[in-house]
Amino acid sequence: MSMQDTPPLKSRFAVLYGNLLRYPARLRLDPVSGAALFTLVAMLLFAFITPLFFENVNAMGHESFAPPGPQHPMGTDDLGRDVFARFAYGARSSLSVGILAAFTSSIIGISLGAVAGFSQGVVDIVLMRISELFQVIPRFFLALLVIAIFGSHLIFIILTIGLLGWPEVARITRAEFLTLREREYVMAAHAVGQSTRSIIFGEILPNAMPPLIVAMTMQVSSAILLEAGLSFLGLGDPSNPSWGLMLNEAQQFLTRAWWMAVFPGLGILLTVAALNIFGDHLTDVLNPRLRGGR
Amino acid sequence: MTTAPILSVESLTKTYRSGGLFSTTPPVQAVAGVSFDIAPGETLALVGESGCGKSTIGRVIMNLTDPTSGHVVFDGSDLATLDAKAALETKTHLQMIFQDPFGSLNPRKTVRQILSQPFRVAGISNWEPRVLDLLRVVGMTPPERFVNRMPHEFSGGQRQRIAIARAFALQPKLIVADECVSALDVSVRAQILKLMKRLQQETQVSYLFISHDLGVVRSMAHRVAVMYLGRLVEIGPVEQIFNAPAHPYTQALLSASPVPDPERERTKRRIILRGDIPSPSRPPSGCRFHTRCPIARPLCSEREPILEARSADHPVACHFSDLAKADAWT
Repeated sequence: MSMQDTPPLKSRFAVLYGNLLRYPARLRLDPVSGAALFTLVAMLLFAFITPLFFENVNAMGHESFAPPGPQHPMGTDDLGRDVFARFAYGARSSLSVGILAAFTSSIIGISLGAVAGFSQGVVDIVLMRISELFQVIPRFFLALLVIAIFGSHLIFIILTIGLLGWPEVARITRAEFLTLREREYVMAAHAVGQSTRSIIFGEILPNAMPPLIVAMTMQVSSAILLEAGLSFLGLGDPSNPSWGLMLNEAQQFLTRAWWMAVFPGLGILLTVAALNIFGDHLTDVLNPRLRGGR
Repeated sequence: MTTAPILSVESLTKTYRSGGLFSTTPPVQAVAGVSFDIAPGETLALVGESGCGKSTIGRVIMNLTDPTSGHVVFDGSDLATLDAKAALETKTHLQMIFQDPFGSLNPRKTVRQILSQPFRVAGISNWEPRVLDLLRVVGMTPPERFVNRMPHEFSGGQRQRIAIARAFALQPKLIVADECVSALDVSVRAQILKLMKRLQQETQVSYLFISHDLGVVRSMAHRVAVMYLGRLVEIGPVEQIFNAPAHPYTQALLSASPVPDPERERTKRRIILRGDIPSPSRPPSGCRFHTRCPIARPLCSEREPILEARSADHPVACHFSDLAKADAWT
């Protein structure tokens, strides 16, 4: 066999590479979820590349309320600023807030959920009661309160949304850990004498990832919505245009300049819908009971 | 047995509480005062129907659950009282092979990662050749063809071989094999049993062989321990248990297992036990078997029989084992 004289490093690479090649096929995209994934990728590329071409989004032009045209693809606003440039910047800040907030809540949620599910007993009870405490507080109003107290810098908005989202992730992680810790390969790892850390991160967590990935996509979409809501009420970071802020600015000119509201609105709609559709699709694909012919 | 036992289980009891703080359901006695020894290089089979506590004993020995009372002494030391470092050292000599070859290997790791784990835990850095050796030992040759694959690429028998390889990585002294062949089909089962026997001859490992398949037990075990409802009812050398079972439950169990000879199978006398196993949360008074025993007497429901030696190495827990024997079951 030719495999026999392959050096281990190279073959390890082959394993990794083979896995990478297998992933797109494993996603089993249908037209709808494929379109959702395409929208997401396109939106991400747009959000992180387009703003590089605009010098200053807050620069005022001499033409207010110009309708969409060749000069300004999405028109201009009341101060003569280019809506398209602000839309691109808004995409970047909305997506960053969404992703970073989801990242924050995932880190907190996964660590606390893993500790709770793995240790069980008193630790579990205490952590879950705390998570319930967070779950019963209406998220939006707590966010309002935090921003009213600490100010509306982008970092605070990200942290606030992230800190409010962790209980969901924690509960899913805990549930996964509760079942996975009883698996035989985990017992075998105990028998071999693996440390608790290596059992949690090496044996259990990788197998708990599928539902967590789904939860994370949902976290991103709800964070985007929450940020848009906050900005719409004028509680966003005024120096960074976001879709929510643009909607806030647009509301008083709704009858006069529809383009100021429609484009950021569409941006939110498309992104959130694509995230939810793709998340739902991931739930189906990653569900082991529905995963045919593994 | 003249040599010191590798494993002594002393009056082990395990009770599971169910429900919450205010639950009124009585606790389940999964194991109630079980004692036995295993000598180095010996296979002790633990048999009994499902729910009798065999697997719980395995889990307690493996330190996966704590016993309610009693001791497990492995290689001269009680694992529960050892300090963490010594316990880790001792624990590596105590390994387990599981029933489900599809659940005992992490589905996201390659064979190399799975088999190198014990070495990495033990601080052996040059594990690559050892991993290949292990695969060779369990008959997966050439090993280079298998190390990079994932568990789902293997058949049940091959997976069980990998699980066995992992158990044998760090020179174990005792392996708890919990129903380790019952998920395999018959031809593969024979190969795995042969492999386990060969490894036993080569390494002098002891097995605690938990099974409900009497045919497999007969070919594997040196001694057999029969359990009913959390208690040991009979323990003795394999020929004595199979040829001259002394406890009526053992006799019933044997009569229920098929004989691979149609002539004898047809003429064999069958003991049919009536009723179900009583709930282990409300075990019957006296002898736990009296509700289903064909030779039960009034005494049986009053006094619990203790495990007494009928001959030197064949203790039985039955008030009327002589009677049972005199009844001459075949």
